[in-house]
Amino acid sequence: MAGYLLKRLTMTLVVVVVVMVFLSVLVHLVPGEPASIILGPRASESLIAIVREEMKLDEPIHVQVWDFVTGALQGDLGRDFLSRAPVSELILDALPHTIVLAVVAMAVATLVGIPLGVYAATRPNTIIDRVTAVISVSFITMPYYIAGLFLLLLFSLHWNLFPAVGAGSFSDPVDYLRHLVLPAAALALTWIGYIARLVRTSMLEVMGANYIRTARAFGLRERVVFYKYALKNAIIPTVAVVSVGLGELMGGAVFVEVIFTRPGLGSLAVEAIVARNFPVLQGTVLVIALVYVFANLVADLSYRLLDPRIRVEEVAAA
Amino acid sequence: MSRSADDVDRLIDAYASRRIDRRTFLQRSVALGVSASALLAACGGEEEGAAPELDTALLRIHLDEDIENLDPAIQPGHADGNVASSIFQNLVSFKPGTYDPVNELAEAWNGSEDGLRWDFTVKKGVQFHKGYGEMTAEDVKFSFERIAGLTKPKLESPYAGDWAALKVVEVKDQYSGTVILKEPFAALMTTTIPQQAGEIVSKKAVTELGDKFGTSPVGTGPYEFTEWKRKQRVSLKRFAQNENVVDFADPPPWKAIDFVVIGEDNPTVIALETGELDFAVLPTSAIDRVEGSGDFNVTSKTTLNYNWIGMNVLHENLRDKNVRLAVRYGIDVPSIVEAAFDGRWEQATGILPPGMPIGYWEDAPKYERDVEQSKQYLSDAGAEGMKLVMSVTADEPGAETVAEIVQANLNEVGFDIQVDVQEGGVFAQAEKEANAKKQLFYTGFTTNPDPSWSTVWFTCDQVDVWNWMSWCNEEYSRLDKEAVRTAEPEKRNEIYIRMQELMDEDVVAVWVAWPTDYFGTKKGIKPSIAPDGDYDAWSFTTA
Repeated sequence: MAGYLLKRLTMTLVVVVVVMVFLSVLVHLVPGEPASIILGPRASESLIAIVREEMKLDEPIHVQVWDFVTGALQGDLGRDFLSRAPVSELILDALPHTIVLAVVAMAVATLVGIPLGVYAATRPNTIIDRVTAVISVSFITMPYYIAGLFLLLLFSLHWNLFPAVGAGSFSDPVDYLRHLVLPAAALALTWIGYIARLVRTSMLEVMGANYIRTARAFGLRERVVFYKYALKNAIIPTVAVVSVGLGELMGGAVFVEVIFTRPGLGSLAVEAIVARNFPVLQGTVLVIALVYVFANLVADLSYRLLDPRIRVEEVAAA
Repeated sequence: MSRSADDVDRLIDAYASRRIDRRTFLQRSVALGVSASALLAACGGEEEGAAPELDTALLRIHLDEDIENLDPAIQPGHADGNVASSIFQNLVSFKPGTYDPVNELAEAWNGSEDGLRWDFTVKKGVQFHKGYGEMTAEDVKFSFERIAGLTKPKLESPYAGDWAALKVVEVKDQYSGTVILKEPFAALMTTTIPQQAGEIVSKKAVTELGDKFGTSPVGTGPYEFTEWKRKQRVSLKRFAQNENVVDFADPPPWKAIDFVVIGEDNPTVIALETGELDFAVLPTSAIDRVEGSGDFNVTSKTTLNYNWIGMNVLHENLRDKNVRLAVRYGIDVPSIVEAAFDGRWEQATGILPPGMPIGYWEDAPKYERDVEQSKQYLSDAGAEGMKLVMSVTADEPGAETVAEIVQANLNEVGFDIQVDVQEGGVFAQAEKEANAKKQLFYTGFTTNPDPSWSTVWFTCDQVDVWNWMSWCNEEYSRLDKEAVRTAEPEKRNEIYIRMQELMDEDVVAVWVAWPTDYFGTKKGIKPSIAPDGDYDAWSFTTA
């Protein structure tokens, strides 16, 4: 296990370094003169020159790559040219909002999706199963921003139950939760459908296994067979998907953050792209990539923890 | 104290410190079984005689983008300006809703006959926010010279152009001094002194706070900065110490102002309708809906901005004036205004709109679509079937619809138009290579209440920069410089009209619209909108 962990961590580190190199080259790939776009038409040539120097745009690419990578490894992601604030400060402001949104959305998706999938699996090919399938597929195919707008119109405008915009403040948890309900629901819908379908398929596969037939032959109650023996194995792919999904949600949150006007990494990145604010863009994308890589690592490890067969295979191979 | 009394106190505290929004406040007050209006009054809310639903504890104003830096020397976007105008004051300002100059921080302000020396005396006892002391002539000197790049260390401000004519500010004593110019500068009293470049900052605060001044600004205005929650809101609270400074407007009734950041149109309208905003800039598509609800007043103001279809005269396809005339007569501008802007923007006939204090060309021709004439010009140029690329950006409201109509109009005439929708940053490149690729394009420029800020982008020295038409007319460029140095308004007026005639003669643009801003305001609130469509939150009043 220790060897495997070391190997995975090394791979993770390599991926992170590659991402950082790519991000520092990104400045040269995106069309448009960043300094003049940031400063607008009234900027003098000398001011543009200062910003170019501060962004190190005139340095050779390998120097820019080295500076960004070494800076990032020391936690220095540069400064936002407009507000003059350190990029790390902007990210630390935004990150908690995005993490809370993604985690709550995934928790809701899991808590609703798993029972929905199990329920459908207990009644295969019935009307209930088909209705569940239609609902799940509808959720899967609904883009985040469409779901967000629908929820806004219904629960905020029509029924006036939840706030339409903003995130509230962590110092008032109740108010924060009220602001969180609709954005989290908008993000969760797709994943409810996805998890429900995944659990149903896994459950049906597991229900055909010999050990389930044996459990039934022993006269165990159907509920015990389902939830104690079948679900335990059927859930393994779902756990992995949920872990990776958390990383995916960090990226998907951008649409929801924009629609609900929530602060977060997504909206920070979008504004940075539009304004060619490269230090902010590089820092934001780096953090999203790190979360994604970390989520993948957790998925891999959780797989091994949940499924003893993987560990046995590894030992046998050794 | 009973438990419910504690709860009521906590609720009032939470609302007054803006930890909860108004809707939550009202819901919780109902849950506690107490009158919401009584609690609002306890929050410093309703004043005698105000409409019963309107509380003056907090005014919530829409910002369509977040602030970045409120320092008058930097302010990168219009949102920064909208917030900063409540924090900072000027020696001379405009009376709210007009372009009438009034002394604000100045007790006296007098210019010499040649316009090169401007003596000022500041009002005594005006205090800076956050205990930074009394404002003096030294602060005036610092504020102006800093933007001009005359202080040490030198500041590179994007607004240095506003103070390009400044030689020095001489301080006579604690309260008086003289602004000395190198050459006459006509925009001094229209855009420099009364607007953002003329805002007075605390020298001590700027020196102490350094880079942080932009996000912790210190001015003398009716409201002082309290908090910025990124991508959410900027909060200001009323600054009572300088209440007597402004004698040309009512004292601001609201204890606090929140500028709420909402970037998208639909959530903005929803937030207005759900009571999370008191004032918002509306997309044209939502005007009927908001007006129809009965809870809001919708007002409008034609801005000074200008939108046009430009033709790059250095591109081989558009060098021939006959081709450009074929484009002019081939495009149906009224249809564009109707389809792209719901008919709610004013059709433009030149670069300067009627609201611009100087330079509106009243007799400008209003070209109508004439397919036969257009075909004739195309035939004269021998360019039937010519392929032309029309570039637009989706960041410009209605741009794709404009492009579709232009494509349909000009294809009917005999062109072959290809529409290129570009990302905002790619479209807005101001450099030689990018400009050379432009053929037809549709865009809009914002401006200030002096014509020099509208015409300056089309001079010869802006070719390869912001003059995307690549049009170099020596007379136009000479007149542009001359107008800036001319003091007499009548003379300036003539010059700017002549400059627009030159643009018209050379057929470099099809003028589309002067955008109109629409504002939704909760009933009971009277907004203060300047003639250019900008708003000053500090001068909003109860109706």
